[in-house]
Amino acid sequence: MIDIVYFTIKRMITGVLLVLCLLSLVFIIAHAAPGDPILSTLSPRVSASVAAEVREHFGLDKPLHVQFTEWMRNCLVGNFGVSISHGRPVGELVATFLPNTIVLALVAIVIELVLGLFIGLMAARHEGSFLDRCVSSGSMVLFTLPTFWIGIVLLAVFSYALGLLPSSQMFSIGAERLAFNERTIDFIKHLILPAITVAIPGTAALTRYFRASLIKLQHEEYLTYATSFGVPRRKVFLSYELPNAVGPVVTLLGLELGTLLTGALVTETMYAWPGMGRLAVMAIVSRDYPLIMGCTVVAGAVVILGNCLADVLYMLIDPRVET
Amino acid sequence: MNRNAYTEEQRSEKTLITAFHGRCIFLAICVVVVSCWRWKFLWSSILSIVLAVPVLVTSMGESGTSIRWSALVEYWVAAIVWMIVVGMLVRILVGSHRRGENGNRDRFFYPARRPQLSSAMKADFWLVVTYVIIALEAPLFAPYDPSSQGDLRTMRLLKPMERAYVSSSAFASSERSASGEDRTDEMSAEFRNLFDEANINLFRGNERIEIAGQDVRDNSSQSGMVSVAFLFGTDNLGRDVFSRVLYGMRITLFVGSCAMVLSLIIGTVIGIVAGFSNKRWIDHVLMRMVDLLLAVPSLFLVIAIIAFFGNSTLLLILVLGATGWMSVARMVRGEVIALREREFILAARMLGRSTVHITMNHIIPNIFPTVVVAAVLQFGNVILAEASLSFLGLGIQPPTPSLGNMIGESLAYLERGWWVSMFPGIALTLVVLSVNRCAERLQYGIQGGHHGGGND
Repeated sequence: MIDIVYFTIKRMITGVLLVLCLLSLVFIIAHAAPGDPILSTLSPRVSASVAAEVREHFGLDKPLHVQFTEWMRNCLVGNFGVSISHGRPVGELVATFLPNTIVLALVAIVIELVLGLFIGLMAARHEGSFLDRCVSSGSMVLFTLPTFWIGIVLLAVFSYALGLLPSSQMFSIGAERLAFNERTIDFIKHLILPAITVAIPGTAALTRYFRASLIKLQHEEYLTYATSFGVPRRKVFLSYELPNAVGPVVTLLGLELGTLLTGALVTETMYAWPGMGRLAVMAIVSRDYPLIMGCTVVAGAVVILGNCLADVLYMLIDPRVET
Repeated sequence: MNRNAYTEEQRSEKTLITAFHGRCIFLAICVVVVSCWRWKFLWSSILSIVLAVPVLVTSMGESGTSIRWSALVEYWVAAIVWMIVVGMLVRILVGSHRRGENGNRDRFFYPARRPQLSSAMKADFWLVVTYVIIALEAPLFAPYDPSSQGDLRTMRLLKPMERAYVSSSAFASSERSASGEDRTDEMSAEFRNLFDEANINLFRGNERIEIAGQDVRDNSSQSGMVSVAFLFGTDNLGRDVFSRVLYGMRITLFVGSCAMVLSLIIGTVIGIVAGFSNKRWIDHVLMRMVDLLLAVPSLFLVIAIIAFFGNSTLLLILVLGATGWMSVARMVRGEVIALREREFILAARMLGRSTVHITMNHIIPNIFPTVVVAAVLQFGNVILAEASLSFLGLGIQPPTPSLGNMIGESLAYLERGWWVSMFPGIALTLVVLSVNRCAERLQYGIQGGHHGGGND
């Protein structure tokens, strides 16, 4: 137990250090970039004195190390500055957009878990059968498919050709006036396509990993030992095989968070889903530097947090891991 | 089931020749057919290559020559690669190409664990090579210029193989000439004229209306109307999707391979330094750096860099290379640490070899298989990353077709023209799929045997 607490604390400290490194990395990128951020946003007709005033207002006239400490301090409090294109604080913007992405990611993770574990289990149970071969090669193909292309195929088929599901946004126009039930249904309808798009590569990866780890375990001696003792097969599977096979899956899920966020960049742009990814892409299109920095930092921090959680969970499931 | 169980007798000369040469003969037939189809193009490019030097020499001091060298080089590369393919085929078929005894020729590298390449692995490898050749040969295979727009009234968003009647002048007007019109000066040397002629042939040859052999003049009207059909249809601006896919594949593979080589170099150097250095802290610092960069979703980082530095193809290559070396470094480091303890390294140390010598002569040849696997894996990843970026409009910029930006552009009119996004997507998937399968099989081959009881 003490081991676990020790490990958790150690992992969290590493996580915090990583976040600090990430902050400095973003700062370095922003300041190493060519061009003057002030001159590029101001009209060329603005006089030099006004430019200097603006520079002073944003604190860009201070020496680099002062700017750096200020940037670190502000970030840790959650103050990323004011977005140029939206005119609102970046923290506030991220706070309104991030939950939408989280909803999308959560639904995708649930789909991945349910489908991936189920299909992986089925394939591993009937190893070498026709089903298994189909799953293996199918998951390989699905895993390599680019996210945006999956999205386009789904859009073309389900939205344009069949007309079953809406193609963009989170709600239909005028959804505010609908009753709560109808609104929920409307929301779910809008959610299905993006969630499936994001989930497909993850599902394929999960299926492959789960199948491989199950098959690897099948011939372990301790399982044969338990079976020879007369332990029922179901019990052998549930209490000895499954927990060991789930370990890699948890690590994969931690990594999956990063993939989901990057996948969201493309998917959200495609389906006009108002989330972090779309925010980031819009920020780049409008050259909104504070917003870009904020998005990168938040996305990185979320992924680092996810990896930490996955490591701790793995530790809980399989305490043999070295601390 | 040991794959290498067969002995020298079983591997009789005859079976080897028939299997190998059968494929070569098939390839040769394809090559001959294509060569006959585009002989004018090939001849013009060869002429153009030969004449380029004298033209360059004579027009050295002249200003205002408007020869489009970049476009010409494109055609030359295609012609030269084609010559190489033909040459190799001839060499194999004529039989001067001999496989050495036991099928192993002298190799530069002698890795301790040489990968066992199964036939399936080789098939995947040749598939990738085929894609690369197709991409390099884009000017040869593409029936139209990828950026020439047709008559928007008739040629916009044509379905695959849909017939359209356009006036032949629509094509004549888009004919480009390689050199400027100001040829009135006294420098009208003979080869210059020949050169121009060859180049004009080259450019015109690229815009012939002969896709799928449909060079059918409409006999009934006799009014210069030409029936055209496009293999993959046309896009919103009346551009041929098939040609664009070929050209897009080329830029995609180009960016992918450049970025892959870059990240391979960075990753290998960092991996070797981290694994082989005597000081523990170097290893620690480098590996924490790897951890940090792996922890950040790399696409976000790439996007941030592109947003701040502006985008160009060169920057794209640099950024994709600089954000993709971490996994290579990890793999290399693990391998180097395992190697470091081996006796032959110790022996080399005892002999007083320098670290650089040991690295160059003992470490690098032995990590070579790992590096190849890492390279192939990285290649697939980079291609996907580039495609995603171009899809978002942050990668290759529109006038140049890339598979990603074609899909991105076509999203706006997906409802009216599904084929415009479907074909580049299929091309992209095929390339990435064969690259990834290659990597997977290589990995199996190197690690020896199958993991997880595969169904190979």
